[in-house]
Amino acid sequence: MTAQSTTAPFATPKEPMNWGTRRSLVGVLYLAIQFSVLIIVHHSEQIASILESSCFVGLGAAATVLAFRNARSFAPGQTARRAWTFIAIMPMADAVAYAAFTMGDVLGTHSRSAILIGIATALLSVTRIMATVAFVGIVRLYRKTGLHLYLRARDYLAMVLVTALEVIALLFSSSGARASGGPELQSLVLWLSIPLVIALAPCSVLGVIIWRYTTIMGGGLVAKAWRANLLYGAAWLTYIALNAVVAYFFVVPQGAVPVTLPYVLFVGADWILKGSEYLIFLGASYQYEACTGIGDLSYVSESPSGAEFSTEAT
Amino acid sequence: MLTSSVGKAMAETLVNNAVKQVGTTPEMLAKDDVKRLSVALEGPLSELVGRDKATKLTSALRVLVGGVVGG
Repeated sequence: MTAQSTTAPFATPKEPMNWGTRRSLVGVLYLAIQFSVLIIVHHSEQIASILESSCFVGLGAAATVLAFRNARSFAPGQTARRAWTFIAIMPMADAVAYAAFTMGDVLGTHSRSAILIGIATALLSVTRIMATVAFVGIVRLYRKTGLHLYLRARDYLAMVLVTALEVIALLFSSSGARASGGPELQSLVLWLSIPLVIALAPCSVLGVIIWRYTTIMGGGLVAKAWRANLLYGAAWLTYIALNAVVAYFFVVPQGAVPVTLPYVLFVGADWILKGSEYLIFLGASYQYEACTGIGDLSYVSESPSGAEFSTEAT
Repeated sequence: MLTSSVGKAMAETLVNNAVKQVGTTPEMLAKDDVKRLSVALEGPLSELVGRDKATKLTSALRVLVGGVVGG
């Protein structure tokens, strides 16, 4: 093997994928579709629902694929492999739930499939319990690295705020379930979603600890990935609490209705949910970039030692 | 590259842990220690960025001091 052929892959690396631009483009496109839906809904509710659901499911699918590929980057038995496998299921569960809850509108009827909604809600609860397991693993992993953790007053304040959100979500859970499942499926959704709300509590406390670790780490793609995942969890909790409180005071507006306070509040809660899906996509893409991006190694060939190297194991 | 992946403080912590594992200090680190250092670094690093990336990063470390990538 000649020196020229062996050095080529590292000396002239192929153009690295620009993940920053891709993430921005996906975000802009996602936002543009959401605004379009607000206009289209006044002309065709059906098309607006299909567009809205497809967009949500599409982004969830992209996040799932990236997260699964992240999991495969780690060796079997490694904590991060298990954590990313669990995280991969979350956007998929979100997509299934979103499709299940909007299916009645898409079909042009207000009937909802009890079985599908039951499965979707149970799936959401299970994935949030899995997220807790994943977060415990990540905290242990960071502790094992020897990185010194020091929690500040604002971290404890964040934990208190998150717990307050939990309490609000639980207090108003009945109205939240009615807003999501309708009066006929209120009890089913309520009982199946309570584990979800409870599982988000340890998730949130562990999330604050992981957030502090990512700050101490001093930047980097892995820190960005976990911060996006944690914001996803916080956005989900905010959505549940806000949706439940708004549903307690107002009737859920259906289809194209005039812009009123309840409409703005429900659309706001819905956008928090949609935003959370983009956040989990961001998290998965940052970790994917961390696992696959090799950066520019061309400087290696200019090493003062003038070393020759091979890309194959010797 | 290591810093852009895992952050400055984490990179320093991992390298310091690896240096301790090799049984030396950053000041006393010799060229011969680099291979053992990269082996010690690869395990913890792979927990954060995956196997392939960890191998590439530690191999690059060896190349920088006149080692062999993948060797």
